[in-house]
Amino acid sequence: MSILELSENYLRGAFVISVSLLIFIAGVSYQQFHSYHESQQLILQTHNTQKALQSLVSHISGMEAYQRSYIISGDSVFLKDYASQRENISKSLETLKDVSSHANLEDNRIDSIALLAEERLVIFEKTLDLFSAGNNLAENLREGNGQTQKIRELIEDLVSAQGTLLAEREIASEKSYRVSPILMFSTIILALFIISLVYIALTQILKKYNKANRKLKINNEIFEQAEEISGTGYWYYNFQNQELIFSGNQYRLFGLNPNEPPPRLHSLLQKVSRGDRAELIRILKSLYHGEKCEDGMDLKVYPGEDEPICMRMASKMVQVDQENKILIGVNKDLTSEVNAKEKLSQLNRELEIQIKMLSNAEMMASVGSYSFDFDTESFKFSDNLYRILEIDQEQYPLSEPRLLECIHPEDRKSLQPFKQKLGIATVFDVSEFRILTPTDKTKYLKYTYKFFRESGKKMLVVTLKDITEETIANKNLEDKNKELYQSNTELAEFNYVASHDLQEPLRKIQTFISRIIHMDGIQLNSTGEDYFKRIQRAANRMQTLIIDLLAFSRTTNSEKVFEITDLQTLVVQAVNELNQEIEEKNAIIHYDVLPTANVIPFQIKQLFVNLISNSLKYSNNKVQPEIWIKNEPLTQKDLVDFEGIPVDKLIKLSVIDNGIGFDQQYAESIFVLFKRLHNRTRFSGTGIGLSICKKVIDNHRGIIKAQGEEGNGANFTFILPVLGGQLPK
Amino acid sequence: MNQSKIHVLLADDDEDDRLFFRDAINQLNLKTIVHTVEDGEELMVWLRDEGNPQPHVVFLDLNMPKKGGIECLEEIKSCPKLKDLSVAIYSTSSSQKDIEDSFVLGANIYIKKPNDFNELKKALSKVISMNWQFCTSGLNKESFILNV
Repeated sequence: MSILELSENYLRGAFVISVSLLIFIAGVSYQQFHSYHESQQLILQTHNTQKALQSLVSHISGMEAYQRSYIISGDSVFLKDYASQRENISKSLETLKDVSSHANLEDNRIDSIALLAEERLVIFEKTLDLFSAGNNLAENLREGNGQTQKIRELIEDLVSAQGTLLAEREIASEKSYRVSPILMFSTIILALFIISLVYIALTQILKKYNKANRKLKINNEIFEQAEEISGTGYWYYNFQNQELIFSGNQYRLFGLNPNEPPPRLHSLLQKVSRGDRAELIRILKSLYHGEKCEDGMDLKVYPGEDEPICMRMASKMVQVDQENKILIGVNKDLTSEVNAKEKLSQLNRELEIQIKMLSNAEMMASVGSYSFDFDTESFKFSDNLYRILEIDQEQYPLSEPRLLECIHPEDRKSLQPFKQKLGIATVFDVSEFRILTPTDKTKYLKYTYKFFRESGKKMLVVTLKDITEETIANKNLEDKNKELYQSNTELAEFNYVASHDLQEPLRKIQTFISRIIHMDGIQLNSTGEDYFKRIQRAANRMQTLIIDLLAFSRTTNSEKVFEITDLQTLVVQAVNELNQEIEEKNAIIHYDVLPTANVIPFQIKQLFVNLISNSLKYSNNKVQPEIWIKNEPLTQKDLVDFEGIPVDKLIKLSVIDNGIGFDQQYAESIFVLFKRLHNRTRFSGTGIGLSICKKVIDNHRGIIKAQGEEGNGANFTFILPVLGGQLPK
Repeated sequence: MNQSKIHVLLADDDEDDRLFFRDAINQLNLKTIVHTVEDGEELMVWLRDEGNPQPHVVFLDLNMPKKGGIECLEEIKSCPKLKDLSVAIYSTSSSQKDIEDSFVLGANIYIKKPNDFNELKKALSKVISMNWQFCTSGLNKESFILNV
């Protein structure tokens, strides 16, 4: 029992005592008052009785006197007074009777007095009758006097008895008056004392209570703060009055306003997610039936429309007193914890996936790795390292010496483990070495390492790449390159031979023929002269072929040095080179202002030379040859072949003529080496010129297209990237 | 020797070419004396021989046995006594590389051997009557190649 309850019982006792005391005082007072009134009444009655008796005596005496006066004087006036006295006696008797009936006095004496008085009156009447008859009155008078005397004595007796009674009564009432004030006073004092005690006790309790209340208020504030910070809320539910009390934060947890009245249990359950609701109800029921639920349960709660929060609920049944059972509970918002946990497990999953991916990637990339932790001095070898070394991970777990054993004996000597430098971990000076697998297979490994600190831990990570295939492939490639270089050298030599040694005999043939033809005094018939001319033509043609072939091989094999070049200059150079033919044909060349571009200058010049000379060669005899070199805008269609290159980084040029043209069906084949569309005798040509053009454009990563119509001119269009030489191959 | 005679020296291993050269010069009726050597080594010996006259111009074939024309050119230009000698390259080759190399090494002019005898005469006439004082190499790459 608490002190409060104890004092409450004391207070209740004190209250009962003081109330009964007061009731007692009231009862006593009432009784006192009542008895006082009664005794006063009795005294009054006694006085009235005395008064009535005395007046009876006096009236009787008066009657005697008046009768005597009448008898003596005979005057009838006295008789009149006598009659009035007689009436007074009757009245007195009545009064006496009335009083005595009220007062319950010793009525027998009053009755006898009344009886005596009646008898006396009879005597009076007899006296008068005797007098009137003139008889002797003495006997009668004596009898009357005796009767009066008797009455007097009786009255006196009665009066004295009455006096005694009155005195007795006065004494008794006085006595009681004397006793009760003391009693009442002391009782009141006692009651007041008790009430004062109660008052003091009450003020003490009130003080304590106020203090406790203040403390409680502060604690409550602290608690509210605490639960808000910790994200907890508490509640209790009283089964008796079905009252649900929420702490401030509990309201917030459920998305409610703390100033609102507490919610109904039913509406709260609606906020719990459907999945958890049944379980919650089951737990609440089992709690009600006295089972325990101390581990608590996790709930998903929808405070509003949107995001749910996760709550842990711990609940307990508390027996407050014999009747009241209260269910108390604490809820904690676990959303952030749950989220963090979720995030962590998500990260863990991702990490696992990444480790798997890494392992896969290692396998794909033929990379193995190991790490060394300087704190724990422990190695960790990757799965794929075992695979590369062809060692069974279960049977022969790797260690530093074992790793060294795997290295090819020849390389092992040249490897300088960094042991001295680093204290422990095996790091090698070389970036490549060989290993020997258990099946005596040689593999080439490339080696990189990295030191780093991860959260204060010093780590070494070594990556080993199996480059066996690459090494072998590289060796093959090197061999091929050597071969290629050799064949290129041979080709260059052949070029020289072709340009020099082949031309030399040819040139001599030509020179000798020219000398014979122009020699004075030599006589040739017309057939002979014709043969010489044919020899000369054949020799010339062979020379052209050799030159063209050389030019073609130059476009393929010579160094491709790109330079930012003004295309216009190149056109001018080409036109200059062809000056003689242009003059011969009386041709007109038109050209636009041309841009600059990153090109191989001599090749582009060759391109212009070839295209212009092509136009000149296939000119139409009927019209004056005209050639247009145009800078053309690019169309959407042109861009298809140049994905990723902006329009302003492309150049489109056309060489257009009004010559004999060609059938469009040959538009592709005219670029093929040695392909000719025309008879040799009509049009000279080796069928190499346009092939060179194609080659040049290919070298510049451009495209060239021919467009023509028989008898209606030809149009050669090429598109080049401005930054030709900088494009990735 | 006659002072009005012009000495020209041809270094060429090809007998026919030497013949064409002599015939052409002879037919040109210039007061020219032609000396010929058959390879680069012989050329250098001839040039270093104090007894031989200083040639007005040396015609140098590029492709020769023992010592090629480019080597000779290099040697001539690096020799203080010979470096002022006028050198005309006289070759069948029209390869860009040969032209470039000989230009860079300081040859004065590049003659591509013509395939017509009359053209040869024209070319030689032009070269011999050239005023070498004003036609030194390095002045103009465009005019380096002789246009007949």
